[in-house]
Amino acid sequence: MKGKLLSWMKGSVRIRIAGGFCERFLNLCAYHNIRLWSLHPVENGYEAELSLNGFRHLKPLVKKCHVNVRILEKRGIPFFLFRHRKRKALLFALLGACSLICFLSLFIWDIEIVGNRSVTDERILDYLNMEQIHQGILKSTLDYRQLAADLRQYFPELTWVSVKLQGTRLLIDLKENGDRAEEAEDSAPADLISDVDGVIVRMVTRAGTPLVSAGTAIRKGDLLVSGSVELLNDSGEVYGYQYTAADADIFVKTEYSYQDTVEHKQLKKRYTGNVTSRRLLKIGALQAGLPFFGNPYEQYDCVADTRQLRLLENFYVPVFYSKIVLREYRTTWQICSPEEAEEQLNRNLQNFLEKIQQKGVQIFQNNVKIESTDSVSTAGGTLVLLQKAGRRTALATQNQKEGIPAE
Amino acid sequence: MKRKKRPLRSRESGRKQELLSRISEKALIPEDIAAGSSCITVTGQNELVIENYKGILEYNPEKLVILTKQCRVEICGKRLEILYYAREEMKIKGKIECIAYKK
Repeated sequence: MKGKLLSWMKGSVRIRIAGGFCERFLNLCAYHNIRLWSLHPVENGYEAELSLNGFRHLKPLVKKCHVNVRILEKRGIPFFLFRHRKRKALLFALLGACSLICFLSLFIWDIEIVGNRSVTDERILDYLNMEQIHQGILKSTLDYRQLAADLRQYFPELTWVSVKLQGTRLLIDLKENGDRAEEAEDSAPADLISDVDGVIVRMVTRAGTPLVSAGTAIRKGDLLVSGSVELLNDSGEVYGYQYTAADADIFVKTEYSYQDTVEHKQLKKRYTGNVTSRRLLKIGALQAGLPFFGNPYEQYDCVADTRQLRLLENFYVPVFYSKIVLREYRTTWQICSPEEAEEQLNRNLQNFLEKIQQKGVQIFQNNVKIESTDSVSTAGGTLVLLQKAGRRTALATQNQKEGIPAE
Repeated sequence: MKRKKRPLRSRESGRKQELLSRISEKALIPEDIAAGSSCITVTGQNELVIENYKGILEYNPEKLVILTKQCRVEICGKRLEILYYAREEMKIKGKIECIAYKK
């Protein structure tokens, strides 16, 4: 393949050798480093291919062996250029295309993010937009090291960031490690504060000084377990503090007010089954749709599948091709019976309860009642939940409080 | 008494080849380098690569005779085609039926 491409670029000729001493001619070619390929005998001679450069050195050998050499075919760029030497427009178009490719390669036309799980592509792209990094910026304006450092700083979840440029594609390779961040947080001195309102049912303290006990009513933001542990001397006086990361299992009984409404008259979306597709070509800021006439539907869902043109694996160019599928629907008012509405409310409630149970919340009491009027059904009431409370906050040590710098 | 030259030369060259091959064997040098022996690689029945030759003596679709330093190599077959022919190496394609070494 490589050899074929090279011979095409340098030019090659197919010749017929006849008369005289053909074998001697072939041997002389080999002796003078003129490589022949696809050599096969034909009637009264041989046919072979050789490079254009080799052909230029054939003349003395032809004379020496008294053979007759005839060109059967010419292949390759030199012959193509010679044949089209008078077509100035073609030459300019070729030069223009080459310079356009060179010009386009100065910009970034694609941003690819790999290795992220919890930090979504959208969040990273939003941040990049905020930093004025988007498709179409000059490669030279980008400071890769700075961008990698900024990304690490902006998203603390990222433990490793690599920013690379491959062709016209900006490749951001990330690694996240939630566990390590948690571990680091674990070891730092911290207080445990409440993140819910309610009454403590059960409490087990593992580290720190408990400030509340079972039966205490707490509010959001109350300090539950302090991370500072008093150090007492023999006479029971405080001589210092030891700081730790407060840790406790605190179960709190909380009340949650649940409200849900279902109207009997509902606007429903119904697909008619009519589907049409459009093609959209976008070059830079210009875009053209096919077919040109407008959308045939009044109400429709639109799904677009967009692809970007690339010349090589990493050479993206600002040409986008989209296939847009339009799916028609009609909205109609539907009236459901109170029983159906109640059924839906029950379904919603069950879904909600399942969802909170998955988070580890236990349901202590369910006082939700469903009532219906002529036009609307409502589910309302309180849910008594048993859930784990406590959120860590950074602890201000005694030294920090007094303004003494840490050693 | 008249001496016959050809048999003597042939005997001398035979001895020289033998000596060279023995030296190359002892010195652990490949024979194709030391004695200039041709190296033929045959893949299946359809492909043959030959190195270290002097030239082509005869070539038609059924027979290809190659002159090497020590002997003539005759390749008989059908639809024989030389894929490439260079100074050091040539590759032959076709249905190879027989490879013969002739003095």
